Amino acid sequence: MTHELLLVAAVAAGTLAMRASMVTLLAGTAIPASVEQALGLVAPAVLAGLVAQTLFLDGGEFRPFGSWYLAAVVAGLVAWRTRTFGWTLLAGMVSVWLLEALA
Amino acid sequence: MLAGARAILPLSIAAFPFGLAYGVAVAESSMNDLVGALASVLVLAGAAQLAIVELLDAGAPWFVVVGTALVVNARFMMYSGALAPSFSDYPRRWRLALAYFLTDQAAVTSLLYNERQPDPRARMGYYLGAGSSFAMMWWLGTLIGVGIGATIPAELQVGFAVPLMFVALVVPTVRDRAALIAACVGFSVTLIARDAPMSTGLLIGAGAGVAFGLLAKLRSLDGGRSVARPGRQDGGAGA
Repeated sequence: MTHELLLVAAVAAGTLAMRASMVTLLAGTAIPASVEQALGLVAPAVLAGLVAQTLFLDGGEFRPFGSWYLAAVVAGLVAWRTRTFGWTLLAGMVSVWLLEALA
Repeated sequence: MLAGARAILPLSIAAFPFGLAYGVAVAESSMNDLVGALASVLVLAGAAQLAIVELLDAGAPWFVVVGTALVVNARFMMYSGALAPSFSDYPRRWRLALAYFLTDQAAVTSLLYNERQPDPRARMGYYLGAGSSFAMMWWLGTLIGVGIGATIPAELQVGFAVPLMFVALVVPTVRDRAALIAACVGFSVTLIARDAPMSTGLLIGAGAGVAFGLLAKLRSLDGGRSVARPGRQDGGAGA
């Protein structure tokens, strides 16, 4: 337990340092336009990577095709059309429940 | 501040099953329940916390666990840079406290808001409202998940809340061709690099996504003028 606690504390300290890094270092200085453009692309790239990792992969292997993929497609379409988090999440959960019930 | 909490509300509601899914994973793993729950307060990052649980369960050495979690969280540095201009008016102590609440969800909603809100005070209030309300739901979900563990019926598909949250987050960030390319490359390369050592697949994918998106952005600008001139948008303050 002590071993795990130390490990979590180390991750926590490192994570806070990274969260604070730019906010404390760069604050007050102007960010070059090119850097700003690159930063604008970080969110789509990282989040799409997280979708790949959590939806398509399961313990390092590809997740077998099924209700999760279909429900994610429904959620993606709703997100694209409505641009509203609430409808997206509701559509995704309801879809996965319906698909599981039908299967 | 209320506006931020309200905007992030659907995501905060989803943070509950996401936290629940994490708590259940902790309860079912070899990880100590108390330490697992404490991680939600100390680390406050779902993807990294799930990686810690999986790696501890697999018996990975401590430096691999810490290294992987930090690599997964390296994206916060990039969010931090994107949000830095909004925080510049506040003292260092405050900025450190604000940084604690930096999550994918708080960053994405705040960056979208900042585009139409020039006032730094309103921006900070919005961010703080979004970040703190999201964190509280994450803590609550974790506690209940660790507490009731495996008694949650599988039919509820709690685990699906994790990818669903990321789908809901990524779509609004894709607003032009460059962002679409960044997302597609980030997605594909993460899958291709899934066996990369120390779970660095996500970082490799994200890096490739940003690089290709930037390339597309530079090429779409007019011919030889594509090289960015620093400081031209802020009256040369950076010179």
